Amino acid sequence: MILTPENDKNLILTLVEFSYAEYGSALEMLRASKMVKSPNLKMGYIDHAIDEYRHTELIYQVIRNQILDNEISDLTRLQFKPLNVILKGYIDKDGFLIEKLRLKNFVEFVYSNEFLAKISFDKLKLRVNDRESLNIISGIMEEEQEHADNSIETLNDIMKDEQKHWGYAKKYYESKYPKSKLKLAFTREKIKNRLRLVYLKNFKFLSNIFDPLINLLILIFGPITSLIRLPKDTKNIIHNNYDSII
Amino acid sequence: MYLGISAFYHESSVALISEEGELLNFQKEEWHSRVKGDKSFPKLSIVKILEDSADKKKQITDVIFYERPMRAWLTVVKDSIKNYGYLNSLSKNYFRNFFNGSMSFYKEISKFKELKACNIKYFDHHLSHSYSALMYSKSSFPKISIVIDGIGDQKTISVFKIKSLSEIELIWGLDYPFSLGLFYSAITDFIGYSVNDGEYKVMALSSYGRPLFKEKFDQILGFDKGNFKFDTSYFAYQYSTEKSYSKKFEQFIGKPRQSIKKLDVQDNDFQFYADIASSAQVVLEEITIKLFKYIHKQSDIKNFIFSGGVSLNSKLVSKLSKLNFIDSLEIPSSPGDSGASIGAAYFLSHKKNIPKKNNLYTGIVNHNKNFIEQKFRKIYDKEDIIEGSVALLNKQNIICTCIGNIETGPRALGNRSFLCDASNEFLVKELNTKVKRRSSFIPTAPVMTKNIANEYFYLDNKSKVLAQNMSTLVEAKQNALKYFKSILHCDHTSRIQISMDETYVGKILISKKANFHILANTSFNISSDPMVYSLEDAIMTIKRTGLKYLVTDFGIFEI
Repeated sequence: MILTPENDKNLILTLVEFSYAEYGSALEMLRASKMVKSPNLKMGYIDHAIDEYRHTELIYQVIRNQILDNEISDLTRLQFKPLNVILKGYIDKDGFLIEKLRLKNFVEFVYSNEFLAKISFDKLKLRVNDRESLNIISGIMEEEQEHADNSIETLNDIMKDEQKHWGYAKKYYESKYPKSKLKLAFTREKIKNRLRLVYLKNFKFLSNIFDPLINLLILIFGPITSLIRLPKDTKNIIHNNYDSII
Repeated sequence: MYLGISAFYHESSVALISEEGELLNFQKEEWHSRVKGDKSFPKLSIVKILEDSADKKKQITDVIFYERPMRAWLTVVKDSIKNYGYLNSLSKNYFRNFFNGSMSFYKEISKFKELKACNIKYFDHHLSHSYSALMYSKSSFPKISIVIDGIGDQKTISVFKIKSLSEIELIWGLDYPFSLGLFYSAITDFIGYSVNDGEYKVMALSSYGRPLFKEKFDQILGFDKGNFKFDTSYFAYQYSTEKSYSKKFEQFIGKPRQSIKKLDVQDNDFQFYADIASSAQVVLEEITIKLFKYIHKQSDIKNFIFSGGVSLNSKLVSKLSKLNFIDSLEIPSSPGDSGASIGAAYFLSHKKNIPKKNNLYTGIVNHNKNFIEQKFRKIYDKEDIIEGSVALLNKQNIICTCIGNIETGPRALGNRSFLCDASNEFLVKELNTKVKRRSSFIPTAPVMTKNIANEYFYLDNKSKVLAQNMSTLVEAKQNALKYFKSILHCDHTSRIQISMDETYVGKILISKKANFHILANTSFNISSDPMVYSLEDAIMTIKRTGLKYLVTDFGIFEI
């Protein structure tokens, strides 16, 4: 659900980022399926997760097609490594979205990001040349649109559940949903993604600032580390001091 | 109660152990986050364990981390700075992430109000492995514990003489950066697999190769009469965050494999990389066997426990189990870092003389009955699970299991498995390549009763014990080659599981209605996912694979 730079010159690297974004989405949806109680909602999120997993695989198919047309020196960095979904920040281990947001806000988030993803894939399509890859991306786009549409239906279902379980008033729903709130959520997500984009674009600039600071730290503390002697173990090793971090 | 935690290097995990030394609950973070090899702080696992133990009267009094964070950090940084200058990429990475790795353990634990009053301890990494093995060990004292992994605190190999659970002496050790485990990881990296994940693929690949590069590897590392030889100039893990092998290694051995495609038998470069894998495997086996012999000669002890990531290499274990001077060789079901949380917590317990349990299925899972019963058609009731499973297997179906607790270790032992009749070669091939989406050279393991295992495989007493948690390879007899080719590797070995009658898979195999002797058994997941944990994961995975039948505690369902 996190979008990547729209104007990235390196198409393949952009596609790799897309695949992690889709993978992150799959994990969020799967987590959501475990947190909701309604069997229908559970199933809806499981099906959504399956689509996102498939998108990850399909994007890799596009990547493989693109590699045939490009000379890439270090292919290992393009390998799909699940751990990168955490390292690259596509999921936040401090809490999945379903745990951080209320269910209603979570669905708003899904709606907005599926719609934004569709827009990004639209732009990506312009930069892919081969027919097979174009077909794959078109297929993904249709499903993203479907997920956005389903989110509105899901919102209706949730409101029914919320009325039942948490006592939300029907009047509240009818006065606030679906148009105005969704539009607001969409704008909010769009701004967030723009900010993310600004951050990514300036990442190199930020590195230029922080790298010398890290270097300075190493030059100060590096010599100190070489002076530290690690404590020796006792003969019966279980009598060592295990309150200490060293 | 004591909470052991392993995190920040391999799969993170949490273990809850009673004062008497019984493993009450074990959770791996990847089961919850669904990110394979998740090594981040196991927040979700701790939450799960605290939820499960909320009604217990006894409180958690101590939390113990599986290593000493400052020692582990300093060991790498000191070596890196001393030999490769202050500003190499590894040391920069270590400084940049000083507060994100193991050093953040205290900060992360402090976020749990339930654990605020607990004593915090930091155990030795290799002792955590050893205690995890000791928890399962049934052999008599004294015994030798050998731990081999990439790196732990300071050592990469530790040999402990264990006179009793409270008298342990380090009798031999190898300090970082010299590392047999990191040598094998460098080979994994060279062949284009992810370090800490693809090592088992290198082991499988090695059976297809010839050890043509062994002489070259002998120039890089070796072991003789207690002395370890290791030329670090061929490696880059000591200063680089990108690669494990150096330019010198490339010049010496050849071009590393760089592809995002799976390596397969038909590929032009398959044999070259298989030969490299074979050579690395032979060197690993030769050095480890020499180490075991040397230690036995020095100590005259015949009971061994073996742990650390390298002990997951079942091909190596099969060679060790054939050594005549070893009376007993024991390997815990989770010998890698994720199992080290168990060992750390077990160290704190009073270790009363409770009966040794196998503890093969300790990951507690609470399944949602309503969901599956409302959404899917039940074809067999819970009382008929065994009969139903046998009927489906007899009809040549692949069945998926998500029953009871999840397996403690990385190998599926029936509770989270894809199962099918192993005599059906076509079905097993489908399962391996289409359902699991593995490279065709990676074999599928079988499960069978002890009697059947004796009929089709060459077994000795040591391998019978090791095969309970699939820790070793055994050689096939002629009749297995005839009827069960599908579960044999190209070298006619197999990583068999000998079932226990009281388990789900054991009950299926002893059923009189079963028309099969051996089942192909592989973990219930798709290749880049962690093992299925909950019913939601199970349904999602079944739908992704196109399979149909899910065995649960509530009955068998058609998905």
